[in-house]
Amino acid sequence: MPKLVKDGKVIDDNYRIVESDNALTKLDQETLYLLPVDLWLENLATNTLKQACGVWLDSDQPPALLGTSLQQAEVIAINFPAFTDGRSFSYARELRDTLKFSGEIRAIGNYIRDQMYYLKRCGVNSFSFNETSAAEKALNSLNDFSDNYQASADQTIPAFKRRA
Amino acid sequence: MYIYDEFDQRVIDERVQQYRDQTQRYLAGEISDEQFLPLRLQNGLYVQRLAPMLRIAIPYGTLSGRQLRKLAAISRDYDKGYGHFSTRQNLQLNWPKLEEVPDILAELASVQMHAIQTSGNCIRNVTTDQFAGVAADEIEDPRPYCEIIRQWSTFHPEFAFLPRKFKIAVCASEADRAAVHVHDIGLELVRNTQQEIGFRVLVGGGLGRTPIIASEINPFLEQQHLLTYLEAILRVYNQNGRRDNKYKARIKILVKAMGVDDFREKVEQEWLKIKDGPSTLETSHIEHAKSFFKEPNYKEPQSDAEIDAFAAENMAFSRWLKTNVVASKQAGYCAVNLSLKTTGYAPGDITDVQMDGVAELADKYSFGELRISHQQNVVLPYIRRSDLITLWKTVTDLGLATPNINYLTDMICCPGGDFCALANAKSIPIAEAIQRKFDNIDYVYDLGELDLNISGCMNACGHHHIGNIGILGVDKKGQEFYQVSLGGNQGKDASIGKILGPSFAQAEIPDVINTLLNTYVELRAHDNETFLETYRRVGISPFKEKVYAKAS
Repeated sequence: MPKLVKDGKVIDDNYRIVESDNALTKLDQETLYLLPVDLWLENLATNTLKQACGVWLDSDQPPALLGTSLQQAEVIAINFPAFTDGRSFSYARELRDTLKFSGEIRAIGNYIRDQMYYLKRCGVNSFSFNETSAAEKALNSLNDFSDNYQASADQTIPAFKRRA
Repeated sequence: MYIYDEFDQRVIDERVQQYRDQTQRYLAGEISDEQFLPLRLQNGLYVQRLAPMLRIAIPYGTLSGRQLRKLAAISRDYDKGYGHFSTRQNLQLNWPKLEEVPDILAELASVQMHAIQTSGNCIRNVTTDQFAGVAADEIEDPRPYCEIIRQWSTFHPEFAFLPRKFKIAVCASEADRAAVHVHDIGLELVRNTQQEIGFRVLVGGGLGRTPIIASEINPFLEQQHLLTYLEAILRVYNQNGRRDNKYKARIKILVKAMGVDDFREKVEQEWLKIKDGPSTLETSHIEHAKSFFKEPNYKEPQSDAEIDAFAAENMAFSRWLKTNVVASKQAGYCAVNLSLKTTGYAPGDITDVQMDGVAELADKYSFGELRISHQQNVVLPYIRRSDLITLWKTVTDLGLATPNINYLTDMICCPGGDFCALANAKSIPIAEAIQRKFDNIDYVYDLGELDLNISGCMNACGHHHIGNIGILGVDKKGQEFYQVSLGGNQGKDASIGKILGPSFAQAEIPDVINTLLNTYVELRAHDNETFLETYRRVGISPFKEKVYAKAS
């Protein structure tokens, strides 16, 4: 059963990721989907699926592609095709800081546990895992540091303003 | 210098704990090699040709005697009793054991040191002028700004998985001793027409496979905008830098591909979103940073009579005084270069005994502080001139008094094929061969100031592109050959060297250099025309002819 670390706890993941070469007509009306951008936009226009789906961005898809529709998403997931591809860190920040997205930002794909602390700082508040034990172990990494130097999505007052 | 408070200390202590845990998980097989790579790189650990290599950060090249003593102890306890200063003001240990690195980091943390982000695709150590705070041509000490940038960049959560490494250098004086024109971001402190101090922002300089001089994207950035503007540049780079080809992934490639004007426009667009936001600096913050870099308690200047008298009777002291001692803006004081370029020793290497000796000198004579130059030498910045004689005697005993700063034998040289897995050829033996050939110090002086830089491969850690004479190790059909370039220069009129012609075998190099220098001496307009000046006047052809004529 796929799991999520969300807001510091391990819970079940009820979403299913839809790959990019797909069609809305192939999807059912019950499953909670994370739709690729093109299907997300298409669904908003056609209202094909009635359930509240989310959307996922690939690492070469900045949030601007969602336009104003992003506020309608309960979940926006950012994908890591490879953990070395760090563009999604900027996307998460853009979603939180500039676009003021207040829903769930989820990390999916091949990110590694040791990136979770930075992802959290960039505004990611949930992380997908294949199974429970990996998710539970990873919880520790969310607390690698008790404070930070620079401002980010999670802490808008940089340390230099909070000291002397 | 910057002194950690509880906050800073906790940050690096937690980092040690984090890395200790990562190392344990890696050794237990829970993290793959591929996944462990960025984790260890961002704690300075390479796996090299013969052994792992640990790169320890020396923020903007400033070190205390106490810290240097700890480095000496670490080199003894965990390594083979020596270290190597790099061209980015870091110290490298060549023989640490991977499983002992967390312990080394804990030792470093006990003296407010670390190896954070000295490697990896993240923001690296910010470097600056080794004479910061004492240079006569300085607008103001650049180090408070370096410290502000250091804190902002340390564990910056958005920029730890950039397309490639990112290097920032700061220059605050008329002469650029920090090579800011060949950095990803170079910052020059400048005054505007109202005499306010701000930053000239240069982007996209670099060496390596594709050497490029940086472009200006902002002629005057006000101080309060320093961090938000840097963040905007990094954000544009993170999202748009190439990730398909490791050799085309630096920001210099992006700037060139977009064109400076489009790049600037993109940065300004990003910046508008965060300008005047939370990371805007106020005067109080800058003043707080400056409070750590105040002038030491200088004493009244004394007469130079004793110095002059001793120099008149002691040739070695007289030479050293002329070449290794630099004027300070403070009357009665000077900065002293300790040369790590002595024949028979790898350039930039320092033993534990020398480290302890220098630490003692720093404590006794330099208000406890020393600096590392990007040219791989040590500087004692606050020396009272009346201490020079006793200082020189001790420095001589330590083997650090070679009077060659800025001359031919003061070479920049990377560790090269003897140590580095990336190298195509050895570099240290080349440096030694040249030092041995040019062992007549008077001749070396007659040649005038000359930068000869040696790199063992295209990564250019030895800065060969900006050497007046550059030597690059290449692999030609499995054999080590060396390509020579002429006319490179660091500083504000930076230039990239031009390749002379086909490469040479190792044994040929000293004679090639000899021919080049003879040609220079023949062609120079007068004794004071430097090699670079002559080259720029006559071009490469005369040199090329002389060198390759011998071969044919």
